[in-house]
Amino acid sequence: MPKYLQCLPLLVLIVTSCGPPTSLDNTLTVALPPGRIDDFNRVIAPGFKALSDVSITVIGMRSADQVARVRIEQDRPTLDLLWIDFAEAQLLAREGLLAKVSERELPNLRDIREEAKSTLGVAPITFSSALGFLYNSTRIKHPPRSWADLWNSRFEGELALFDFGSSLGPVTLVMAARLNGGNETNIDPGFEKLLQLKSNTFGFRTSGPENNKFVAQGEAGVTLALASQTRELKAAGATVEWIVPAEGAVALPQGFQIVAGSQQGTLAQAFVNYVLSLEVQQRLANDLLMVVPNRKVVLDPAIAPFVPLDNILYLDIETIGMRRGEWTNRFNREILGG
Amino acid sequence: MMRWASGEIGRVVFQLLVIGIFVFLLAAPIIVVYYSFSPTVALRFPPDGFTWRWYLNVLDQPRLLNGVWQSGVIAGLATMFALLLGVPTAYALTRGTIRGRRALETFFLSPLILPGLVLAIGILMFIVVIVQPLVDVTLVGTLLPLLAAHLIVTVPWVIRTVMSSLNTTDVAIEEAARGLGATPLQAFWLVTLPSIKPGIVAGALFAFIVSFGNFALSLFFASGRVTTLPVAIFEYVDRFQDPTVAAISTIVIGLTMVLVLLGDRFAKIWN
Amino acid sequence: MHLIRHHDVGILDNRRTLFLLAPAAFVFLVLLVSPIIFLIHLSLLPSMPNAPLTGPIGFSGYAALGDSYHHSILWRTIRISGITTLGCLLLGYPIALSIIRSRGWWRSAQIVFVVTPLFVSIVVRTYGWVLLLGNRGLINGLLVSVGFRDQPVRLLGTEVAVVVGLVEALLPFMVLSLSAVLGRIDSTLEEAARGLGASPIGAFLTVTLPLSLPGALAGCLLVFMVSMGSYVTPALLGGSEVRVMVIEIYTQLTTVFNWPLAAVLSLTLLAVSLTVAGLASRLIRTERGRKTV
Repeated sequence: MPKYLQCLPLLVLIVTSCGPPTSLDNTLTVALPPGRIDDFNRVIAPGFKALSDVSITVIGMRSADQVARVRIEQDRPTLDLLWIDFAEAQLLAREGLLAKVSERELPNLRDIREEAKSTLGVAPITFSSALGFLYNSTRIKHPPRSWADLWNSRFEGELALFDFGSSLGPVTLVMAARLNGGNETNIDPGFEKLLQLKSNTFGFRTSGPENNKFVAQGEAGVTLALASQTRELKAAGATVEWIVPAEGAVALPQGFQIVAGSQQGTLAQAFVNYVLSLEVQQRLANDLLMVVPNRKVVLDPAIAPFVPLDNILYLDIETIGMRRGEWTNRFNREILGG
Repeated sequence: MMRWASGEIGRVVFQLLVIGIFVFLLAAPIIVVYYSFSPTVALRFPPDGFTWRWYLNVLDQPRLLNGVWQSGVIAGLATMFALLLGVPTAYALTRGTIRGRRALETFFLSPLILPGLVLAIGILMFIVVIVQPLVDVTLVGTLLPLLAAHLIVTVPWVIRTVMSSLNTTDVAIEEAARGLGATPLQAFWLVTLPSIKPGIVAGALFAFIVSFGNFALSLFFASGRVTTLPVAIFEYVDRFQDPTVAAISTIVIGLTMVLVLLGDRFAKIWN
Repeated sequence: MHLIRHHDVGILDNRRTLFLLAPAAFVFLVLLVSPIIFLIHLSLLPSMPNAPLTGPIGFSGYAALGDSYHHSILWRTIRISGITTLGCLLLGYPIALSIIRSRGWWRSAQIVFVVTPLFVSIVVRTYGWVLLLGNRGLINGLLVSVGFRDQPVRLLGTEVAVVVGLVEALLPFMVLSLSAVLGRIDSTLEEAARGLGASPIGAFLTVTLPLSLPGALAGCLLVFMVSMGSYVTPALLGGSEVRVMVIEIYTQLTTVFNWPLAAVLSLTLLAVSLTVAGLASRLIRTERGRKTV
């Protein structure tokens, strides 16, 4: 028998053994934003792994891709947990694709502020990033002090903004609407106002780290960013500063959600409970500069300016989530110019 | 030894043109190699210095290393199956006598012209909606869907190159072998196969290349276990804006040059 | 001495032929045809943001084909692909000729230079162009230091950048297609033309070029198709403002969640590609029919 045919059975064996994974009893599969893999492995995962003999598989996936994936997989999910933007989470929750939680399975829910809980019965907001202005202090002598300030002509060509591939695109649109007499349910003023901002833009991009790099290197003057990112850039030697706009720091709520029908339901619940615990929430606030919903958290005075618990602005996440698709089409046509 | 007789000036101009185009062609990979040794995250020319730092950092990035391994395994398997499927098909298309061969040829080469993303969506949805309920086994997240998708884009390459090789070899030799009493299989194995070796090697090379560098398909089927190198790089670039990616790419570039040199030496691919 | 030939002589009987074709045919039916049928079904579902995956069958999604926004995206995609193809052709010929006419280590070196970039992942190659073309990139750095400009020239985020990236990425495919056919053309033909008094360029234009046309067309077809379906290069080098078909499809898939529309656009892309492929194949076949000089 010719040599190559003899290899066939071996090949078939190899291929089929790569097949369906036996669901390992102690493996959690978590999807999270690629930019957060580092933070997750450093701040969140170790504590949980110490509690139980668990291995955690991490997949970098943007929230939008997570939605697509969970939708396709429906009743045969390969993901157990999602670190996902809260707007997308509500979207999935409405389609019944996320597991509901209660205080029985997640005792730490008791300590969570009411406004952070989900109206649809799924896991609450686990933490929010707070959005402020990141600016290059060498390049910009008079930074913007409010969202309204951004329209000032002194920022011509300086603003590194976001398209709708990023969750910050809708945020910019909504803030523009609010400044022009509209809001999340009356968005036309937002498009009008945003069009006027075009001359001040350095560009509309999808990647946050990319825009931050432009500001850090002095190619652009201002962008929207988080305090934690600012801290990293400063540590790397960039001359940048962070400022909370007068209207408030827009909250970007995110949460750990359990995928409905996940094979690791109990383990996933234990994980979410762990992330809502005081100890972890404390670490999230002090280490990652997140605005956390656990009532008992006490802020370290040194980091208080970077975690604006009192000057936080919650947008109507539900509406934004529902309308985002429609707004994307309009944005691509009216603002980017097709 | 140039066989093209021309004036001295013409020849020099031509050579300069060729070198110029090569510079353009290699500019991007070269800058990546250059950047991999840059001591600063910002690109500087002339260089500020030289460092192996990013190469060491590669060793600290399990996802990138894993990506290389995954890409290699998948590309290897895809190439093997592509050869097994492609060679008989190419042979049948060139030596066969059934009607509608041209249409079949177009059909088998069609994946070359299909956008990867379109194929990816179709295959994924097909697996989830039709295949999984049928076999009652979870396939998404394993190697199989990705392998299947890679197979569909690599087979056409093998068919293409083997067909073109078969078209330049003389049927008469095979017919002679048959006339001397060889069975069709023997004729194929002893006569045809050696003469189309360049086509097979070229096909295998292309299949491997296409599979290894593929991004669209791999992105769609990515899961914890299955993250190929291009996807791992894309994730890394999104987060870090430093030269580590350049370092691992440089390593791949080096290995490639060796592979291609060996291929040309042993198989004389370009007749 | 070979001229370009397509064998029509077969030595396999029908039964054996079908037997050999069966495995690939089965795999293709499962992996290619079924997903496309699925896509067609998807395209007939109601088209809207956050579209559900079930619903009444209709042609609402195809209304998008009348939308001028999609027309401009399609036109942009075709334009970029066309220019890329032309670029590859113009740059590919000299390289292919050089490879065919040379020997020894220089020949091997050229082959390595042509094929190696293909192994570098498209993501990385495109990233290389980002490094070259950025405002802080190599090119702008040189321009500024030489004093040619005060401010960096905006190179990224333009169609030009996308074309440059695509040409560089696809040039090897063109070179390989051209070499394959140029290698089979006997150089004595050109020498004969020279002997009859033609200049080097004249000889090339009247002898080599026409004979290599089928290979050139095949190469053009390949480059055009891959450009039409490319994602990474337009995304990284073109930015938000250079939207091509695949980027729009991706947006509809992952941001707007209008999967029926994504299917419609995908099938449109497919249809355009197949049409061009059909026309080109016909051209190639006509050229191949001309067997003598």
